[in-house]
Amino acid sequence: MQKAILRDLLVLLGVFGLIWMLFSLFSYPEDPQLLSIQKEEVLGEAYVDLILLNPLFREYENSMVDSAVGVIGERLLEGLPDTEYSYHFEVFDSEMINAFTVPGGNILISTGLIGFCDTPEELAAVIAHEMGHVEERHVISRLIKELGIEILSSGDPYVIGEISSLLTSTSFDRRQEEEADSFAAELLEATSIEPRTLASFFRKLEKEMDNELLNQFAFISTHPNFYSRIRDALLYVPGDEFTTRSIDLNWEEIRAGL
Amino acid sequence: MKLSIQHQESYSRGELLLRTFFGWLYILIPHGFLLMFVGLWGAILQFVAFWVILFTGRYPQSMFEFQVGLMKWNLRVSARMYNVSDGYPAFGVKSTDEYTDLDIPYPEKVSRGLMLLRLFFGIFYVYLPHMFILMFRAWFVGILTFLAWWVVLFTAKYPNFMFDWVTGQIRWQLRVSLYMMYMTDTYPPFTGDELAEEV
Amino acid sequence: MMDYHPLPQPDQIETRIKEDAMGAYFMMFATMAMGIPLPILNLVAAIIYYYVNRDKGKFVQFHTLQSLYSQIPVTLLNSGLVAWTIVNLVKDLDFTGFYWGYLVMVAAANLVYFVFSLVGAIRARKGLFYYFLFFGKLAYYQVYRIRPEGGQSVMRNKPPGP
Repeated sequence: MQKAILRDLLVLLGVFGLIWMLFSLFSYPEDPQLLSIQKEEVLGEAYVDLILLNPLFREYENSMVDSAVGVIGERLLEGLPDTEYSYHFEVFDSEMINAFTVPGGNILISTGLIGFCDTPEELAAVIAHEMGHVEERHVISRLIKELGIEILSSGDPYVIGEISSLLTSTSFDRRQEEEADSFAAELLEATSIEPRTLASFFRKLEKEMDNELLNQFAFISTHPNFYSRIRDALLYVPGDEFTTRSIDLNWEEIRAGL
Repeated sequence: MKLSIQHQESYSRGELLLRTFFGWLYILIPHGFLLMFVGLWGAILQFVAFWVILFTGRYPQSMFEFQVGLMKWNLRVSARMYNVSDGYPAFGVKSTDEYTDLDIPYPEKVSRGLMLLRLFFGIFYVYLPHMFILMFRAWFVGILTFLAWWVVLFTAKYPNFMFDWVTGQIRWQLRVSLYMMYMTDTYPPFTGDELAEEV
Repeated sequence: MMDYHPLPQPDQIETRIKEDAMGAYFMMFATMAMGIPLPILNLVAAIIYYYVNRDKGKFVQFHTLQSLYSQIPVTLLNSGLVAWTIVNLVKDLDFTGFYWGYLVMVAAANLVYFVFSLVGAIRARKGLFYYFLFFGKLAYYQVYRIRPEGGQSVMRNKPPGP
């Protein structure tokens, strides 16, 4: 009888274990490999154009700022020789301290954010973080998960307009933020910038939060879990051979010009 | 059903005072605490009993006896809180009491149609009429209880008239409960008096 | 070779005993009765029911035990699902494929348990035995096997120390 009992138990466990495994594997696939990077870049261009038409995100035309951002961008790209994306950095005129990623390697940065950074290294840290979202394809995977691949591939201008509005308020989940943070730390180290600069930036933001109105800080509302991320950023220790090489920019002049 | 509370020849004045000032502490709290849990179990059994009746037409006897035991327990405590009985109420659903007794016959069959009627419309044709009257009656009984307190304090006797009203209140409420809990199919009469159902 | 007590036949079992045995399978509705989505309530109700009905004979004991034992994994699975869901929502984590697979498995387990319990209840009411996979044999083994006599403790008293 005891053997029969044991056999029954194994059958029971086996059947339900099988059900679990079977349905786990047949769940919807998560990887966004369904959309090619070329397609992503085409879509991204359309989104950026529409976003910049929005009065809240007017393109900021200033050659000094543009070239400064370009310098930082190029410095960071030194650490990403194998990237499949061709990055575009756009500056938009807004007091809000904000930066966000649009599919296709497009990173939008507000003048408010540039003004808030005391050094070009801080801005580099933020941009590196956004590049993390690009390289790990967080935005596109989120869009596919929430909207589905059909809506995303549609060329309908109304749909594209709606999606572009969504992009300015996309927030990532905790795992994606952590991935972007650690990507940024590694990229900063690879390009000889102090990797823990991101922590200083968050700390400044957090301090300002006590003083200013919350709606200035769209960045904060889409980037929760401040303290744990500051802690994790500070825990990153660069390798033994790490040295810093500062970014060659007259930052005060650039900020004054805003 | 037969609910009887013994009308004592004389009531203890000492216990009256003790109950008045400390009754909440040494009666209500222990019994109330336990009754809460036992009552929870009773609620689960009540839920189960509904479905069993729905499919078999019979109230499971063990569950029936449990509910009766629970009602007896509540009766024991109530009798002391109304000061119509002396002594300390016993704990448990299987206990008996020197001064109070409750006898509810086990129904061999329960009408399922009537049960569904009670489930969906009981509020209208049972609760509303009975609770409305019982509310006013309760106020009156409250006044009587207050007056009776003084009478017992001075004469150690509980006046018949008041005693009957208090007992009647408990009896009436119990009849409504029994009907709504599917433990009897007889519609509760609009009176607290004992009917011709003496055993 | 194990010896077992003989099984009673339906005509040998009182109606009341049959009802009590049937009641065990209804403890799975305790959560519903209370209106609180707490999976452990079902298990607690099943345990209480077992204790209350322990001395009503082997037939009742068999059914209450079978119901109780089969309730345990269902409660564990349900609690796991509730916990997993809450953790995911609070920590803003993704619902992975494993989660959905688990959810489907738990739903299937609940459905199977429900159906079997219903059949068990009906059979018990008729005075019949009904054996769940694994739990049936387990309950039967525990309730009906004949235990060797003289199982009393053979400890003897001794004075303290040398």
